[in-house]
Amino acid sequence: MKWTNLTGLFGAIGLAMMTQTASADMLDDVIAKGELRCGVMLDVPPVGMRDNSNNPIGFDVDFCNDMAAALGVKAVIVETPAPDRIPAILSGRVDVGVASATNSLERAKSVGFSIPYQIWEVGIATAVDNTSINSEADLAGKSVGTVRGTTGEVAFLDVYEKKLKAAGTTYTSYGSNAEQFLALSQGKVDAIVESTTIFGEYLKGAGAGKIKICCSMASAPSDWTGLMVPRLEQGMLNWVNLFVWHQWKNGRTNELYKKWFGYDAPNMSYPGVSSY
Amino acid sequence: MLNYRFQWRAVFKHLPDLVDAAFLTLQITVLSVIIGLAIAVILAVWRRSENAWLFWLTATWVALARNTPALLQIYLFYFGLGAYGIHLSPYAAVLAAITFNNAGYLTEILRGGIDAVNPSQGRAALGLGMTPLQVYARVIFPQVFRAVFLPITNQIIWAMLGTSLGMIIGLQELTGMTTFLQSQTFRPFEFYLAAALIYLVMVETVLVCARLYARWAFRW
Amino acid sequence: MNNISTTFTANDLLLMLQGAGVTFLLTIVSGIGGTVLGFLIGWGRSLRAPWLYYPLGAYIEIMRAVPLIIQFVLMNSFMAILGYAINPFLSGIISLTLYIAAYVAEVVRAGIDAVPHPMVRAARGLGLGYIQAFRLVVVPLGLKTVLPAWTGLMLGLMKDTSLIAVLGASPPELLRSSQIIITRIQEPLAVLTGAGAFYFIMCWLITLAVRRYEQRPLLQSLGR
Repeated sequence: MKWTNLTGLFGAIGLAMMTQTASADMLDDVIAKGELRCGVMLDVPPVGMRDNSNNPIGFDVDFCNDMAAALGVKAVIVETPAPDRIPAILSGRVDVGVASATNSLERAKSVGFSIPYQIWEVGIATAVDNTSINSEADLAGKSVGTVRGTTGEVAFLDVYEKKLKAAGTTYTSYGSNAEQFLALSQGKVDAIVESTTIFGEYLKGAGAGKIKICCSMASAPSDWTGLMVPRLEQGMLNWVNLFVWHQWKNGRTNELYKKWFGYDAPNMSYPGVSSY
Repeated sequence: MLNYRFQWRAVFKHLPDLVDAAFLTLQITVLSVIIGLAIAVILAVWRRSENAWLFWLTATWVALARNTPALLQIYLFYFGLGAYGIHLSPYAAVLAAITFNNAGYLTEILRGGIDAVNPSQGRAALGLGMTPLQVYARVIFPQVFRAVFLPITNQIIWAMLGTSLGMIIGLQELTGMTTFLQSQTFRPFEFYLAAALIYLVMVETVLVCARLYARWAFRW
Repeated sequence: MNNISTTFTANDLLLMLQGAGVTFLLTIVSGIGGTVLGFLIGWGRSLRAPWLYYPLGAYIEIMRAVPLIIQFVLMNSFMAILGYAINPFLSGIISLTLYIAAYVAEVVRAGIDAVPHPMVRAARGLGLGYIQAFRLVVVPLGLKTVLPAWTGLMLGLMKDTSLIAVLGASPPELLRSSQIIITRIQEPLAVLTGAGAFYFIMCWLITLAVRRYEQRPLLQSLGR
């Protein structure tokens, strides 16, 4: 083979490689760029919040950092409040949504969900001196506060429509946890329904001595959340699924649970069915 | 390129919820404008009063209403009063805050309208033997009304859009309902677009009515 | 891990001051952009050519009929589905500019209409071209009438920048930085009252500045 032919061959390979980059999938893009951009909600302690110097911290932030490390790239935390979660993913402004999103079938029509990485329980909290609410059934005739669009609200609304509404219960749907907690501490509502994880964090901080977790929302199904990628990025989704599995296998998920939530990670496979 | 497919099915399914929420928006708008206007008439008169207390009360009201974000006003009516044990429902708090805001802006609008009437007209009417009440009803008010009609229409629209901030403290009006529904379906674009259309229809209805009335009343 | 301070720190004050700066910046950038765009729209409508008058009118109606919160979210989602990965801050500025331009356009048109027609005809009769007459007669006279209304719009704009918070735009403006602090220290009332005081002072400064400008000899000499 002559040298000129060789150059031609290398040229052709080089050209092929360049065109390849143009049609590469997201996983290749992330590795090539050297950074993984995660969409995280930073107004939901302890999964996403800011420390005293207003740097992002929390379960989801750590999870993103781990993922970037596994990819061998730099992690970039992009704050995505609830209404920006989907636009951020659709536009490619973030690569993966690490935003404690419940993996509902309705939502999965819009984005691709990974296997579960967190499971939340829904609970009921009251003022510390409240003795009249001791179970979910005691919410009858009381006023209840929820946060709009959260799993806590969806779980509550289910019971509300079936039983509580007829019993005279009223409910108010607040914009965020900050308003919800303030409403409870001012006595505007008798009880609030929210993920116990979020209660836990509040009890450690500003809510100490003011509120108590009364009971679990027994009728509410536990809330399984997944990481989100664009629906058509199957290659990325495969990798993300395997990553979530490895986080479990090497004990990191449990470690993060202990660090941020203060207890062991629950079993994340559903009895009697494979995968989920 | 546009690689997004619109899915309107979920929106159609929840259209009754959106329409119900729109009626709530409309209700608060109407009430807040009527009450706000009543307060503004009183404040506009006090604004011209010799009494220093009344003057300063009015001036403070107007300055606070106009120079702080409406979201903050809603917050203060709900949680601010709550800190002192006065508990308004989200509905009452939003109504009170938007009314407070409306009253501030409407006072300025009315003041401008009254200033626009040449004072010598009033004196002339008095000279012609009219009673002061007649002067207000027959001479001043019709002119003021004409001058302030358009700005008041704008204020009605502002009030309607302002109620959307009520969602923060738990009012399930149009924007709040939209936010809830989009979080369940992850279809923000479709739901917010539907809400925008409903707002557009409501605002256009107000504007068309106002224009027809103005054409009839002022021969514009 | 729980060493998170639940009190207001010096850092927080810094964050709020920085937020106030961002609010100011947002107001100025979208205020200038919106004024230029609004001027063009208002001027275009004053020509009363039907092909220009009605489309621009429709634009104004729509921008004024949809709550700004919804405009923010729609613009952000719209950019996303078109595949433009612009950040929420930029998309927020675009929304604010398009929004305030609609209001400015109405004010500009009122200002142009406020200049008596005989005056414009007189100027043209003196041999001034259309552009000269517009620049030398209509603009200075109109400016005097529109300045108070325009100031009102800019104050409104400054308060409206707070709604960009729904997008979580970074760097945070004043209300968003207040919310960040509230999420941590759970004291909404005190923090928001502080933020309200900031807004009040900034509005007051702008009002003062415009009043200064209004009293400049040029505008004074135009008289009433």
